[in-house]
Amino acid sequence: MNQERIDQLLTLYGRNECSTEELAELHKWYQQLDTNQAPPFTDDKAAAQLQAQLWEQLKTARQPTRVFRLPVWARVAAVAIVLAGAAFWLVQTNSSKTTTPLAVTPAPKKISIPYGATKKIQLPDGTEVWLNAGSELLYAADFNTRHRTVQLSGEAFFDVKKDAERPFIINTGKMNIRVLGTAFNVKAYPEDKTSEASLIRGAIEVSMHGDPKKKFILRPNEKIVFPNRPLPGSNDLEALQREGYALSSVSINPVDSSVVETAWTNNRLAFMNERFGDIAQQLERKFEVKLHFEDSTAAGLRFTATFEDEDIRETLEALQYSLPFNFRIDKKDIYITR
Amino acid sequence: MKNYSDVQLLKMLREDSEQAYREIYDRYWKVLYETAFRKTTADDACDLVQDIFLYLWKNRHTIFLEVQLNTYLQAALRHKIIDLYRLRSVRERYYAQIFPSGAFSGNEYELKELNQVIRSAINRMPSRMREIFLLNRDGDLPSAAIAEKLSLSDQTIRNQISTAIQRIRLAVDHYQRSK
Repeated sequence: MNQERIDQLLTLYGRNECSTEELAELHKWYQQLDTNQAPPFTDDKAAAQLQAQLWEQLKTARQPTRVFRLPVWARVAAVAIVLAGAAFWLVQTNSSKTTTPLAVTPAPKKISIPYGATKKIQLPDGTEVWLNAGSELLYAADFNTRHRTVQLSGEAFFDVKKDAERPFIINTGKMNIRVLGTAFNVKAYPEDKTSEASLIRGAIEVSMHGDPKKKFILRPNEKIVFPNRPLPGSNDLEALQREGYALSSVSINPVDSSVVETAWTNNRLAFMNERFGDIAQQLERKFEVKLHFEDSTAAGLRFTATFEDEDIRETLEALQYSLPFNFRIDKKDIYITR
Repeated sequence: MKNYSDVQLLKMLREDSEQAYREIYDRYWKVLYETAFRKTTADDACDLVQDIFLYLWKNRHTIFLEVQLNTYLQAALRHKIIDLYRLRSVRERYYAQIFPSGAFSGNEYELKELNQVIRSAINRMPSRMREIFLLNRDGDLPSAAIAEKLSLSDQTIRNQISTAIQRIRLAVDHYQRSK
């Protein structure tokens, strides 16, 4: 049987359109498939080893760990900052454009993290970066010579190497972060409603692309959040505060005093009194699904929870314990109702 | 456990018995792995065997067999292997169209890297675009069929596919320049 015929049969098979004869032909081809002449195992010991290893992997794939549900926790009142008038236009037409090109001749280095994964990397200057799912970090070939500038799309936790000569600068679609200190988290997924930076240690200075003169200096355990799109209605202080934007404190998980904003670096998913509508974005990235709210009041439900290894169904079932809603899963689409 | 028949094991599996599941795995993993290994590669064989047993566990409540368990498992494996070849052939033809320059005439290792590059480019697409692209590439569906399936206009689908291909081209270009 020639390759062309095989391809033809395979295509039909994929569409479920094989006749009985074609199916028989394909099965015959399958019978004589013999690509790997090597012996599957060198000896019984290797076989037993593989048997145990595959079983372990299966166990991990099958078994979720415990779900912690935390008491509902009220946010610390935010520090008042006026963000009025700053233009946060999200370029909707080309959300595909993740980064602005850097003006350098040699190709910049790009690190891309697929959905459903996180990765820790070390930059040439010794700075450590944990990158979250679906993120991209870009830096020019001459990084660490005259400057230390990186581009980020997505979410990352930075532990920056001190260097008084060359400040470490992070560009996102919304803001510039100049690092005066050490460890902090930046969340700037173009598809999210907000961008934020949370500081753990040291100090950082954040300015917005729309308004570079306005600078915010963050102290440890503070975070700054602003909308990626202009808010409907007004952009005055009250509206921003009501929606939880501007400067506030990071959320501390009362169970183990860990900081919620950086839970993902330990492969955890943590929410502190967050709207279901915003949680949905994070679930979509982590599990590669799409959530549809068929009842808009459901999107406004607020949850507090920490998850480690649950799959999407288990996560939603756990959330159902704390507040009433219903969901149905249709392959990659999940419909939420009250 | 060793003295139970397959039929008994399946019944216990439906009642969530871990031991029964383990026994089924111990009985059949090897013959499945050997078949998969002969017809694919060692890596693929590991994935295929795990897929099959994961499927068995997830659907334990709804699996009622008309045939012997081992016949069923071999058929499941056959379906998975044929589908693996189908995916590869579909993708190869798909990329041959995108890269007439023959970007895909590298050695084993380069191909692996290139696949990784493409995978991560696909992962970074907005979810709708990714869905459309995968339906077109892996599902082998023409744009009109996708338009119908997702109730969008054919033009929208075409645009999304061409943007998706653009992104992959860029990622691949980038990778080849960085080598």
